[in-house]
Amino acid sequence: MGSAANFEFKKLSCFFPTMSQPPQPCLFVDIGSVITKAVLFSREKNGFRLTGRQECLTSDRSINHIYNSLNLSPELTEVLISYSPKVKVGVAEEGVPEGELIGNLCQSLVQKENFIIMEIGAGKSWLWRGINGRCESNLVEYGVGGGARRAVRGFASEAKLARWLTEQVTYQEVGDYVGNKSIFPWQLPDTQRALFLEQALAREILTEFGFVDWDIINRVILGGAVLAGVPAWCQLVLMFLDGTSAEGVNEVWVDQCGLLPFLSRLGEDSETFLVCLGTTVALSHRQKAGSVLGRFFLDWGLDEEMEVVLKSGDLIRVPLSKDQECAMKVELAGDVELRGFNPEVKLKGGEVGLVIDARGRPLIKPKVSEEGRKLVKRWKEALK
Amino acid sequence: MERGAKIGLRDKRRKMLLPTRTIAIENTYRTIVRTLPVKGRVVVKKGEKVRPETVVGSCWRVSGFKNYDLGRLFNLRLSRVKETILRSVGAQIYQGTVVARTKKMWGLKVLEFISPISGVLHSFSGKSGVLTIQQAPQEYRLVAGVSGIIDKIVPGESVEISTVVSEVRGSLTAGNDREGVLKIVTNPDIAIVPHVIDESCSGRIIIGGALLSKEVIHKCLALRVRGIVCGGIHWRDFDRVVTQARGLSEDIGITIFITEGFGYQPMRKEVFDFLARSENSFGMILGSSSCLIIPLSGQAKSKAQGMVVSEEEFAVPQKDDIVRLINLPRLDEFGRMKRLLDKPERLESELMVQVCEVEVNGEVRKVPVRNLEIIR
Repeated sequence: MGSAANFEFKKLSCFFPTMSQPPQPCLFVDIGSVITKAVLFSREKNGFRLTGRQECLTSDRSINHIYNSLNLSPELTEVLISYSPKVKVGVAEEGVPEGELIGNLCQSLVQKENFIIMEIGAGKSWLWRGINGRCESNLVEYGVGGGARRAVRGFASEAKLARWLTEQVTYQEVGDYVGNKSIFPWQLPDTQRALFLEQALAREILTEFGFVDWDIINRVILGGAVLAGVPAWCQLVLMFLDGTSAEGVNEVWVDQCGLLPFLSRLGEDSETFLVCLGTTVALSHRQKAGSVLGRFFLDWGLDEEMEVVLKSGDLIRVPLSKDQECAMKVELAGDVELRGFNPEVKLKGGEVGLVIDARGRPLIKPKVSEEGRKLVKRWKEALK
Repeated sequence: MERGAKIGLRDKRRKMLLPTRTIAIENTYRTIVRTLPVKGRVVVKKGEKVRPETVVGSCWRVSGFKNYDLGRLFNLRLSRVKETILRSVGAQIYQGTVVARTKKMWGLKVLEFISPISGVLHSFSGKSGVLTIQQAPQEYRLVAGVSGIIDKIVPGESVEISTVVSEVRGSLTAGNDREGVLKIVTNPDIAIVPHVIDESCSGRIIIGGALLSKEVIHKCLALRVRGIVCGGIHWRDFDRVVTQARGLSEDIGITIFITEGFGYQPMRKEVFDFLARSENSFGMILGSSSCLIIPLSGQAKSKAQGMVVSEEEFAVPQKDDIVRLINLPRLDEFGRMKRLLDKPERLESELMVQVCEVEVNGEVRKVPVRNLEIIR
């Protein structure tokens, strides 16, 4: 893994573009509707070093608590506070809205490529799109904390959540879990059952973001505690594919440390603070399960190319590490499509690697039945 | 594939602010707001001592209109209904007044419409045969409900009474502020069943049970129960009964006070015992602040010096703090905080989180710090 370790020494001369001599230490505070996260950097010879993290429940005491916990000295002068639109504590006068900061990030990213950012919070969720030089955002009032009840009351019924679970569950249990989660949004899922239930909710929220033109998207950035806090990255890639029904070729990145609002201050180095999970390759087709869709030829510097015969319903993970790239050639059956694929561009590896999704599009979601649970289990096993 | 350790940080210093919950407070000062349902007259003065039965204000409540279809009642053609009216529009009428009369069977049978209410004959529609009576306004007298001193007056609207009360705080409430005499209907660890609700519950706040069903709510509504205090309720029942399609909580004629959370949740023993001691006392459920107030009128005056309770909402957990384990779906486990562990540990869900040791029923368990609530 080691993505975290990479953060330790980075050249961050452009970290604070407005400062000629950035003082030390520098504190970034992201005040969410439930959890306030702080990241502390200190300046060293060759850049900045990430020296501390702290989180606490959001209250009017959060900032003081963070200062005390991180033992910050009074000479600390540079603090950047970002706050969520759902925050009610009085930080507006000293902070910058999260949407504004991420908007700045989008403006710089869209100059280079087309992207989407999806962030799922406790009370709300965001989708930012940057396409052909234009940025737009979509804020939905759903989340996995206080916003969970709204989601289940709206589009994510108990049955829709239950279909993503590998164990039988009563709809009452699902509803009660969601209800209690909205009373105690800071609670962490301590069992697999609870974790999968939250991930099911995240999948449905991703679905709710609506249409994305996957042909022209190059990069996807995922953020928010339920996505960035998964115990294994393969779970996140599967949530992304299940929830968004992404098509074609997409690089998937995750904001592990909750630095998304502050990345615009990092300029060229912003990428180094994100974790690359790899590339997803999703075929568009409506073939019966088991029918042959075509062949993939993967070349990542081994003696010979790797040939993969793809059948409908397959979900394949190729462990391509983050410093590896892979050239891909495809031979597809007549009515199978790989949208936005450019054979000249090499695919990037990452923490998960290359994930080939041949389940078809639009993705047929599993049913709430023994068969459906087996299918979900098989998908989870495929990416492990 | 698995996520590695977090960034090398000052983990030893990581402390979490946890929410605190005060479940029950006995003998505390509180300001009770008593509001007239419509604008009226406040009849007490600032600084005046009041008793629970003292009238603090009065107003006239207009109850609305009632329609009566005379054509259908008399079985007459619409063109003939107008001839039956004995009183003119705008006339004052009293309960029992004959408002309309007709003869049938060649005058052998007389049919009369006798007004069931007092009011004003508002209108008669010849097209539909409907007679409309505007109900007479009724005087509403607002009593103090508590013993205390008038602290503040908003002329014509409300009074604030400073008093000593005991209070229980819950997890969620639905409905307006309501008051009534407390009545225990069942044990704290079993579901309330409809047959335990009878006429004796009418006008009261009923207490007990680990699960409240929508059938019980419907029966309580039929019997005009004022409020229900229970440990838990299924979310869907709560959502369907209490929350309308617009997503807003609306008053349905009863106030529901849930002490623990959603699902089958036995009421905490201390809370139930406290409420059982207060059975037959007057209580108020404050819908807006999720608390049940029991005014100490008279019987507790000996110790009613009152104490001021800290309203701290968040605190850093300390050794020997009483904590509740939020171990969904269970919310009924309580323990004593032992110590915070320096290193994060892996949960059954495989999440790496900061944990602490909590003594629960003599057994020391490792629990994620985030899954605790400090009980004051």
